[in-house]
Formats: sequence, C-alpha cells, structure tokens
Amino acid sequence: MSEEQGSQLSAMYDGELPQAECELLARRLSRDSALKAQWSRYALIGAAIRGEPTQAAGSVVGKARVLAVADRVALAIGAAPSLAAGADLSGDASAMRIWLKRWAQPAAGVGVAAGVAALSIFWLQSRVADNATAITAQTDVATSEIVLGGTDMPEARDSLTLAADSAATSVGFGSAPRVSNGEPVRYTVPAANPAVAGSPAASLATGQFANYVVAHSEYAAPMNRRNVLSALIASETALPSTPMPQQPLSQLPVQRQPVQRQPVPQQGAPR
Amino acid sequence: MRQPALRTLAVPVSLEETDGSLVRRVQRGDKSAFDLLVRKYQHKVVKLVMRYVGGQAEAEDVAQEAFIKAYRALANFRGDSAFYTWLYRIAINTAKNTIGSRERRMISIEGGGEDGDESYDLADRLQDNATPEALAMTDEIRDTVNRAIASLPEDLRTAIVLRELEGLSYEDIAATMSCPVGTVRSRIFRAREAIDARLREVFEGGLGRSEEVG
Repeated sequence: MSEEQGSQLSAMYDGELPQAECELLARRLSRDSALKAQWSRYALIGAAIRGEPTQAAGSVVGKARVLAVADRVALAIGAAPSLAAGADLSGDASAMRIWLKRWAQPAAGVGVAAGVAALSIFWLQSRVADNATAITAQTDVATSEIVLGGTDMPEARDSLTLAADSAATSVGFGSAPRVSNGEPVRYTVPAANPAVAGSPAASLATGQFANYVVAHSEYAAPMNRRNVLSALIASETALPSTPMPQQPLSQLPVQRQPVQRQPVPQQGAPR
Repeated sequence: MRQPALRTLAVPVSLEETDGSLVRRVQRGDKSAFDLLVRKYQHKVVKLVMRYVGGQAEAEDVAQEAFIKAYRALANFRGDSAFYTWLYRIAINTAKNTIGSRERRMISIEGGGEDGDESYDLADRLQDNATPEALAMTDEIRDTVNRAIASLPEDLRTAIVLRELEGLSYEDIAATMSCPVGTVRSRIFRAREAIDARLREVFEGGLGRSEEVG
C-alpha cells in the first residue's frame, strides 16, 4: 500500500476525502484485505484514545477464539441475501429507487390530501347551493309564514303581523321580540316591492336575506343576531328610494290574522 | 485521559458523506461496505450499549444485534440523518428491549417459574464473561497506543488528539494549529502510521493475530 493510498484512507476514515475519491477508495476497500485491516486498526486506535472498548478481533485467549462484533456481524449477514438481491444493482436504478422513496411518497400523500380537500369544498358548495335554492323558493311565495312564540307580548305580536305593502319589513325584524315558548304568533313577511326598492333584483335579494335571517334568528346567538339585523337595517336605509315609516312600530298598520295553535317549533323546522 | 460523555454523537458533516458512500454501496448489495461501517463504529456502539446493559460481553451481544437490525433496515435508510445518528437510535432501542426482556424473565423466575434451566441461563447471561486474558489485552492495547502517542512529535500528537479526542474537522484543526489543511491531513496520517506500527508489534508479539484487528 502506497503512502498516498494510506493518506487517502486516513482522510476517508475522518470523512475528509473528496466525494469522488471516496467512491473510488470505497470500491477498492471492498476488494483489498490489507486496506480493510488498516481501516480496522485506525478504528482501534481511535477507540483506544477515546477509552472505548478495544477487544481485538480474532485474538487468541487460551484456546478460545474471541470474536469481535464486526466478525460476528459479518458471519450473521454473510448468509443473508444482499440488500439489492433481486433488484437492479446499477447505480442509476438505486438512485431512482431512493429518489422515488424520498419524493414520490410525499407527493402521493399531498395528492390524496388535495383530493380530499377538493371533494370537501365541492360538497360544501353543493350544500350552500341547495340552501340558496330553498330560500329562493320560499321568497317566491307572496308571504312567508313564520311561527314564533311570545303570547305574553300582545303588542309585539300585533306589530309582527305587518301589511304586505309596508316598507317596515326591516324595522320589524330589527325590533323583533325575543322568542319565548308559549302561544305561537303568525305574522306575515311582506314580499319585496320592486317599485319601492329601486332595483327589483336588489329588493328580491334583500327579501330573501330578511326571510333567511328571521327564519334562523331563533337559533342564532343574541349578539350575532343583533349584529346581522343591524347591518340589514343599515343596508335598507342606505337605499335612496326606500321610504322609511315615520311612525312608531306599534302604530304601523297591522293585518291581523287568526291565531292558530301550532306545536312548539323544533330545530330547523321553521322556514 | 479525558472521557467526553457525548462525543459519540459528534459526527462532522463530512463524515455523513463518507458514511453515505459506504451506505449506498451496501444498498447496492456490497456487504463488505457494511463491514467497514461496523468496524468503524463497533467500539462506539459497544461503549454506548454498556451504559445500559453493564457488562462488555452482553454489550457486544446487543451491539451485534443492533448492527444486524441496522443492516436489515438499511434498505429503508434515506439519509435524512447521519448514519451514526440512525445507528445510535437502533442501538439504544435494542439495549432497552434487552433490559425489558431481562426484567420480564427476572419477574417470571421470581414468581416461581418451574424452569430451573432458565434460571441457570439467566445467571449465565448476566455474568460478564470477559476473561482476565481479554481484559489484559485490552489494557495492553490502550497502553501501547498511549505510549505511542506520548512518543510522537508535538505537531503530530496535537493533530491526532484534536481529531480523535476532540472530534475536530481538519479545517478546525488547521485553524487551531495555524497550518494548511493538507498539512493537517498529512500529520494525522503520519501519527496513525506511527501508532499502528507499535500496535502491529504488539499483535505480532503473541497477544493476537497480526492480520485482523478489531
């Protein structure tokens, strides 16, 4: 073994040999037993300096041959198939296999996650579209009937039955009484008047939204309900051509209808 | 001599490249490349495992098992961490499993197990079977290395100690010793050659075989 080769081996042992030289020397180490023995002695020297166990391989103690770990491991894996058995042993194939393990598996995981997310979004959108269709169908009817509790508030009950041609729809919603269990009150939500609201589409949308809010206000948190209704009132007042009532809510014209006993509304039932 | 506690984990970045070359060769089916890795790290692994299992004989058994496990799992080693870091985890897990199985066997024996042979086997396994001759040889190797280091010129001694004991890279050693990296590489090689010559004398003198050393 030349001095240059020994110097390369020493540097490779320390991880200080350039990659290209390292590959070449690793190939030579596989065939050259003298180089391999020197590699082992470098390991032994380092272990001795660091105070690590330095039991020598193949040493003869009495008549027993004491094997070192490396010899025993070599015996154990000697009969085992090599890691690349049955596979293409070329460097390119190995690199491709490693590349696939490193990148293809995470990419497949990301793809599955994206697919699930896309399906979820599609499903949610279809749900929203179904709800919008149901609300639109409701507002096509001239009046919407909503059952509320509150028999202990007769004035409020009266004020909740509003004339169809009244522009006080939003005012009525904004001051809607709290729902309580008791005798239900039927009242009428007027259909939007395109002539009053200016744009027919805007009026229709406002009416749909108003109906939706009223229908679901029973299940909303008080603060959220108040905020939504306040915003609705503000948007209504912002329309320039929308006439607002000049009289108190309690004095608005009321269209009384016979009260019908109905069961206490269940969750999701009122529309 | 200084005994750093966590020096076994101080693997320079460049070592990953060297080990990576050998690992890739093993993954391509070259078993002898794995033998080089075992020879390089067996001392560290045995010392590491001895913290858990006690005696050196049992530690060698556990280390052997850990290396075999590592070989079987090497096909799935992706190189996300250094090879020794990965091997370190396998060795610790193997040692812990060994302790766990030993304790379970101990409990079954204390609980009135019928198997007297098992009791004998356990006692046999717990015994550290390092013979006085083996211990004497270990001491002689260490003494030889220490004497060889002491007889080295100052620059060689400093270079090899900074490398092996402190785990410094060639670049750091060069900065410490105010010399080029090539000089450091040459000094470390010459120091190893000098120590190796002393070691070969010892082995050829009768304590062990001269061809293969641990």
